[in-house]
Amino acid sequence: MSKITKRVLLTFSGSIAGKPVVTELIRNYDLEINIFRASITPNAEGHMAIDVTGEEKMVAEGLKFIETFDVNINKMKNSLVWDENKCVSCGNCLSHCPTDALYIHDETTREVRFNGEKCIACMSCVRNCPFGACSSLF
Amino acid sequence: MKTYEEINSKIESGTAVVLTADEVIDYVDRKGLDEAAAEIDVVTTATFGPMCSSGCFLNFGHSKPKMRMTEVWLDDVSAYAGIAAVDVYLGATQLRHNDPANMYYPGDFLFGGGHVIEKLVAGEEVQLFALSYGTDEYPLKELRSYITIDDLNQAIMTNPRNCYQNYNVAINCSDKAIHTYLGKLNPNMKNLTYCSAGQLSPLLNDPYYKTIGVGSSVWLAGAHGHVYAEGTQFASACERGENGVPSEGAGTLALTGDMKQMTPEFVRGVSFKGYGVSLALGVGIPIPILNSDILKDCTVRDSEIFAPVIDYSSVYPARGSDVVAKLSYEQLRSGKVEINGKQVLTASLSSYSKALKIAEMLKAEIKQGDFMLSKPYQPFPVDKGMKPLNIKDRGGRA
Repeated sequence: MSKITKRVLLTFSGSIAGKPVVTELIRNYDLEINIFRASITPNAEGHMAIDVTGEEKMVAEGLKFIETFDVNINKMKNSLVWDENKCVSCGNCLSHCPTDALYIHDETTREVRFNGEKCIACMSCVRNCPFGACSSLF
Repeated sequence: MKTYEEINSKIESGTAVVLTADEVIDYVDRKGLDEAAAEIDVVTTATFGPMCSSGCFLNFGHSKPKMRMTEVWLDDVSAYAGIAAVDVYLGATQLRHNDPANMYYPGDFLFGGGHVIEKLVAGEEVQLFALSYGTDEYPLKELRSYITIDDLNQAIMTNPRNCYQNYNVAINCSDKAIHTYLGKLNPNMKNLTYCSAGQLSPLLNDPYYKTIGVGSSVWLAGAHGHVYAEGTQFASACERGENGVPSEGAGTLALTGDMKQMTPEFVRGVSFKGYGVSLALGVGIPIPILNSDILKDCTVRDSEIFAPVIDYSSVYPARGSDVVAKLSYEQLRSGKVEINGKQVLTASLSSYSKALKIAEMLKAEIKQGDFMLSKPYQPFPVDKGMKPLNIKDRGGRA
């Protein structure tokens, strides 16, 4: 069976902090969890940006298991937000982005684009963009 | 040979031949210089990047009762009020009141003069707070109100130094990261930042100021403005390549234009971590092709324009003159260069993409007969140097 990787952004209420959700995902569903960034505070809303790797069926079941808690799973959104309208395509971010998630889309027009699938939420662009085009959801 | 009058009458009749400084390179290659010079009327150049010496004069109109404003803040950013009653000058690099600056290094500098200017151009509401000592004819001592650009009588952008002809490339040779107006520079020459539109940039296409001078019409963020003086720190007596193109800072332009005509896309406040705030601006300048020499200058390519790589950790702050390397804009745009056997990542602060868009927009305006050229009434000096500030005792002893 080939493995797949799904990038998800979890937003959960304070009530589940303290439950070993990630451990159960690893143990019971044989999944690899790569946490890019997490912000978890007892009794407050928390966020976790993760990659879930495993057999397709197990990934689906694992995510279903998470949903039984008070957790919002967002498969589309990245924790890093690139605002196309604020970006001026100067390219200052390019030397700071370690995974080429920010890249030049067209060599002639030198327009910068963002590929969320490559983003590891290192926040380097957030600190370096003078135009405030990159921000974080948490 | 063509004259300004001939070119303007072609623009008026909608028959002018206009190319961008980017397109003209291949065009001249194909057609040959003389044939192309006879055909082309105007080449449009452009740049978009942070230009710190920018700001605007604003007139608020008079309150009832009247006030001679002596201290003024717009969204808590101080504007200079040492001019007539309700006039101020708001500068791009002015920090917001109570910004901790670099007290907790590196500071974030999230909002300042450049951001207020961006908000005004975007039509957003800005808080006006003013204080005064009160006089017989101007009794009001304090005022708080909210304004948009439409409420102002005048909003005239007046920038003492824009469009640097060429610019330093910043690198960090030390073993600690530094934060500069050219962004974060990682230690041991890991990355470098350059800031020029290269082959599209106005003064790199007119290296000896044959057509750009005092009185030249410019496209300033969408407004039809003009060059009102040589820019501050104008230094035409600089190092130049065989093609005459400066390989260091060199010329600058003082520009002015009506902010009410500007487009928000090209007026953007910027925040440099650890450094401060500024304003990024888009400028387009048309070059009239009066003869083939002027056209030849417009065919300059990124591979023929060189910029000095300067160590911003020691040489730049100490006003030193050592240059780490000289690199062409073609090399700089490639994303990676080799300096002293080391791979260095390159990035730009100037947006070539926006510059290209401006050159196209200006081209379209000229073709439609909406933008006329003006002959400068005073050329720039070609042999002007730049003086340093030598700190002295009273009476002149160094």
